[in-house]
Parts: sequence; structure tokens; C-alpha cells
Amino acid sequence: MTTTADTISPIVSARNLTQDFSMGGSLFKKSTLRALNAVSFDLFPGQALAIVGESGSGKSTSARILAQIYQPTSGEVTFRGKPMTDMVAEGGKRGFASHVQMIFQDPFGSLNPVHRVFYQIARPLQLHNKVTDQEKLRARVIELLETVGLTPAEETADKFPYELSGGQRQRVAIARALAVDPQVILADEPISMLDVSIRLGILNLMIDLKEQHGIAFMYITHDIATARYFAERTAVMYVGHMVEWGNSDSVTQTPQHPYTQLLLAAAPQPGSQKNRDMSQYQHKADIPMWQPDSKGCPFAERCPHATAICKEQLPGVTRIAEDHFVRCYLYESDSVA
Amino acid sequence: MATHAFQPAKDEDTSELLEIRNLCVDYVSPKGMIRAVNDISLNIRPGETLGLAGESGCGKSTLAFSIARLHKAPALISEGQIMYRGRDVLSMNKRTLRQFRWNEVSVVFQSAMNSLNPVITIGEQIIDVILAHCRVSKKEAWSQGEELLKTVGLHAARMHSFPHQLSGGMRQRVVIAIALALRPKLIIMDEPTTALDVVVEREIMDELYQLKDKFGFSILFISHDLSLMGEIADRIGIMYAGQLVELGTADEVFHHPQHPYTQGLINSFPTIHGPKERLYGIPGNPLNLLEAPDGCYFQDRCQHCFAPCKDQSPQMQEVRPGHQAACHALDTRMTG
Repeated sequence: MTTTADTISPIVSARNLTQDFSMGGSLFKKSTLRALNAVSFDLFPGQALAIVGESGSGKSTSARILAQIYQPTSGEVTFRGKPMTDMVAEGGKRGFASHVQMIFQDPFGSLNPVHRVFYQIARPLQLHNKVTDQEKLRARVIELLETVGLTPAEETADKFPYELSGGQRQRVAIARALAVDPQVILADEPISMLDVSIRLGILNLMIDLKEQHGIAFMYITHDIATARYFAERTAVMYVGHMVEWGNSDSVTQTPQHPYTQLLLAAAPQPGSQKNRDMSQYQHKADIPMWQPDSKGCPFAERCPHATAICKEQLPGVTRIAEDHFVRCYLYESDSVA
Repeated sequence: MATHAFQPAKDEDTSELLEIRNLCVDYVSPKGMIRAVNDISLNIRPGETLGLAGESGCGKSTLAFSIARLHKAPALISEGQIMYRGRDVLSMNKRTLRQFRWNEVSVVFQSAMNSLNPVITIGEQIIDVILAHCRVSKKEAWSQGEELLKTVGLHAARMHSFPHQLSGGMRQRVVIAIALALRPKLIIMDEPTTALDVVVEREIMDELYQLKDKFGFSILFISHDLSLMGEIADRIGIMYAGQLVELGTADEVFHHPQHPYTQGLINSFPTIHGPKERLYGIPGNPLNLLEAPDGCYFQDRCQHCFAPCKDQSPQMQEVRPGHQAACHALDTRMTG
């Protein structure tokens, strides 16, 4: 469904991912939340895909499926053309984890507080049998710390997490993810808990890793400006659906879907005049809950352009430009795809 | 709505609502005293929005708490003065302070999720504030509460809801409703929308400004999100390591930042529509106040650092009318 003009083939392809969660209810009346509905995307080596959306839009769920934390209800993920389920059956979850690593939002919670930095990074190296020799282990840890800019590395290796600032901790988390030489890194809001002055350093580090090591990144964020800064391609999600995706510049500069337009209008832009008119969008008190039997476009209730069909059937995919796709009836008539 | 027992002093200076003079707040720690707020002077005018920006640990929340005297040990105000409409806040007795808080100054805390009591209804929490400060019947307080919910865009039936039944944005609206309950003249907002999504944040800020137009209160808006602040604040103060390093109108601070820290902060935000180029932000890490150097606190991260920065602390000076900054490099720029 999503293609780029590049000849490089995707390293990870997700097709029609659907994820249901049971929400309790009674024995006879089970309530089910559909967190992801027919989501497809590709990750390319040396490139980043940003997933942008509000909380509850399914951003993290898609990353967790790739990280083998959730088993998708339906749909398929292939890694270098091979189904992920086959890879796990052959090499186990750990074998799969040596290809795909995750960076979490909270660097205060994702490092073990009772171990030194050295241990945090040496552990994956030992578990994955990357390095067995003690001396080489030390050298590799130092090398990784230098890669992520934690110098002097010798000193940092002997520190405990509490001795490091948030930005430094996140760099340790990145070094730990890098330890197993992954081809894919899933970064789940890696900078949203960091100080503003530190965020850019982490983003620039990830850009270097992407460009110099050819790592494919999935960058989950709610900040559309950093998505454009970091990622070649951007996908906008709303209530479990990908509503618009494609080249980051195209998506952010010529947004087509009413929800993407709302997101961009809501993002603060200093210098622009205050009080932009948001009144055309319906007020939203609660995040709508998508269920397996829900119909229509997820954004229909808030959309200023909604018509009868929007409440009946999920719109198909329309290709707007070379690498720019949207799911919206507004564009369906001039569909080329 | 509220019976205002609080009277301003007779010699009230009407031009300033709140005046902070040379305020210092220290934290007592086993490793020594940490000066979290270091010699800060600023004022808030009636009806104005003053934004205070800075990274975590720069003292912006400590400053906000000390204005309402909500700071607790180990924090203590060691020097300075806080004048509210000509009255000295720091010398108020318990009773006056009780009237001062919420009748005059209310606070919206960072995390709305945690500032509501999870086991009692929204309605009870709202009327609690009204009953504590006003002589009204429970029934009347309840109907005032319903009105308040409507002003922040919630249905009156939400009075019967528990906090967990509301989304993050709705809870934040409830917290704002409680802050507005007694029609205070100053609302201190400590990162009010940080935990919220952009669209919800925008809706709440729009509503807040409609309420501000209606009731005419002042806002002290504390955030690390400089881009939001650039849009909503009249004036912006930038804090670094407990010190106020720049203060001016939002437009001035944003378009002609003088302090290297402010310049770095503004350059740390990728833009949505601007040119796409590699940004560099601010090198280094935030200052550990236990290891505060002589001279300018920003010296280790500053590209313009020269001899005087190492031993003299720069003082705030006027760059243009209504725009001050504290940086030694300004002198050379202005004289040279």
C-alpha cells in the first residue's frame, strides 16, 4: 500500500494490523476496544517513520506489536520479507530482540537503579552472546558510551543512574539499545520527558545513528514539529487509524486530512498571532472509543466537512502525491491509486 | 461571589498587582544550602499574563509556590519581599493568609490528575472551596459549582462524577474551575497543560483566555514550553539556575532574545513551517546548584563566555525599554 520511489526495500513491513483489547464487561456482554484498525506501514533502513497522534491513538500499540510485546489480533508483520512469527519460532523472542530494540519515554524508570551504567549496557551484550571476553566487554561498553556522546566514558560507566541527568540517562538507554546492533529502533516518545535544552541533543544523536549506522527508526511523538525535523516520513494516527501518511514535508506543509489540519492548527507557533480560529472543529470531551463494530471515519464526529457517508463507512486510501496518502472522502473522487 | 474580607493597604499602588523584590528561596539539604530562587525581582500588572520559562530545576515552580506561601520545609524564603496590592505577603498572619489564598491568588498545579481527590465527587471538591471561604448555604454553593463547570465548558451533571470518570482535559478544566471559584485576581498556573495533547491544550488555553477577558484576572504562567508561551503571554521571564536572566515583552524576547540562554532555548524548537536545517540548541547539561560557580551561572554552556563571566555575576540591565537581560556580553555589545 505504501511505496516509496526508492529502490531500497523495507526492513519491516506491517500489513493490516488490528489489535483488540478486552475491556471487561460481563460474561455475556464482553466489551472490546479496537486499539488499532487496519494499520499498514513500512520501515526503511537509514530512515525514520514518525507516528504522530494524541494519547489513545494507537501509536504505542503499533510499536509494541513490532517489539513482540503484544500479539496482533490480525494482520502480519514481516522482517526482511520473513513473517515475524516465523522468526520468533526459529530464534525465540531474544533472537528477534537482537534485530529490534525499543527506547522508552521515561529514562528514570527504564534503567535499573541498583546497577551501574556499565552493567546496564553490558547485560544485553552478555545475554545476546555478542561479547564473552571480559576485557572486550569493557571496551565495547566504553565504545557504545562514546557513540552516544557520554564522555568521559570510563567515568560514566561506573556511575549509577541517579548520578545522571535525564538527558544522560536517555543516552544510556540508547546505548543499551545499540548494544545488540539492532537494525530497527522503536523510540516511544524518547524526548517528551526531557528538558527542552536537552531534547535537541537526543534528536541529533538519533539522526546520526540513523544516517551513520543505517538504523531504521520508528519515532513515536505527539509533537509534529519534531516529527518533521527527525523523520523522512510521517504517519498521522487518530483513534487507531492511520488517517494520513507519506513524506514528512508533504504531510506537514500540505496537510490534507481535516485531523492533520487540526493538529497543525493547534500546535503552538510563536510569532503567529494568538487565537487562531478553532471553532469549526467540534469540541471533544472524550477520546472516542473504537469498537470492532464501529462504523465510518473515526474523525467524522468532529470533522467540519463530515457528510452522511463519513458516518457509514471507513474511507479508502487516496494517493495525493507521489508519497502522500490520505483516508478521507474529500479526496476520494480524484483518486489515482 | 465571594465576600472579600481582604482589603488592600491604603497606600495601594494601583499599577502593580504583585511585586516581588529581591526574593531568595533556599532549600536546606545535607550537602548545603541550595539557592533555588536567587535574587529575583519582578512584578505582575492587573490583567496581564506573565510567562516564566526555564528548564526543570531552574526554580520557576519554587518561585510560584512562594508567592502563595505554599512552600514547605526544607524550602525557606531567606530574603526579599512579596507585595500584593501594597500588602506584605510574607508578614501575613495565618488568618489573613487564608483569605489571601484563593480569594486573591489561586494556583493550578502541574498535574490535574493528582490534584483532585479520587474518592469524592467533583461537586464536593468544588463546593468545599466555596464553603470554606464564603458564607453561603450548601445548596447555593452547589448551584455556584454548576455555574463554574459551565464556564469551563463542562456539563453541570459532571458535579456528580468522580475524577476517574473524566479525561485528562476534563480534569484540568475542573481544576481551572476550582481556581476560578472565588474570582481571584491572580491565577498561578504551573505547567497547566504539559500532560495534555496539543489539541486539548489549545482548547483549554482558548477557553482560559475567554474567561480572562470576562473576569480580568492576571495569570502567572509557568512552563518549559516556550513556543506556547510566545503565543499567550504578554511578557516573558526566562529563568536559569534560580536566576532571572531575561525579562521583556513576549514579542521582544522572542524576536530579539539578548541572553545566550534565551537564544539557545528558542533555537531548540524545530519549527513546523520554517526551513529544515540542523539545529544545535544548548550544549552541556543543566547546572547542579550545589556546584554553582563564581560569576555567571551559564558560563559553562555559553559560547560567548569571556573573562568577566568567570568571576562577576551579571546584573539585569535594560536593553530596550521594557526589555532587560543579565549578561556581560551585552556591555561589550552596547559599548563596542
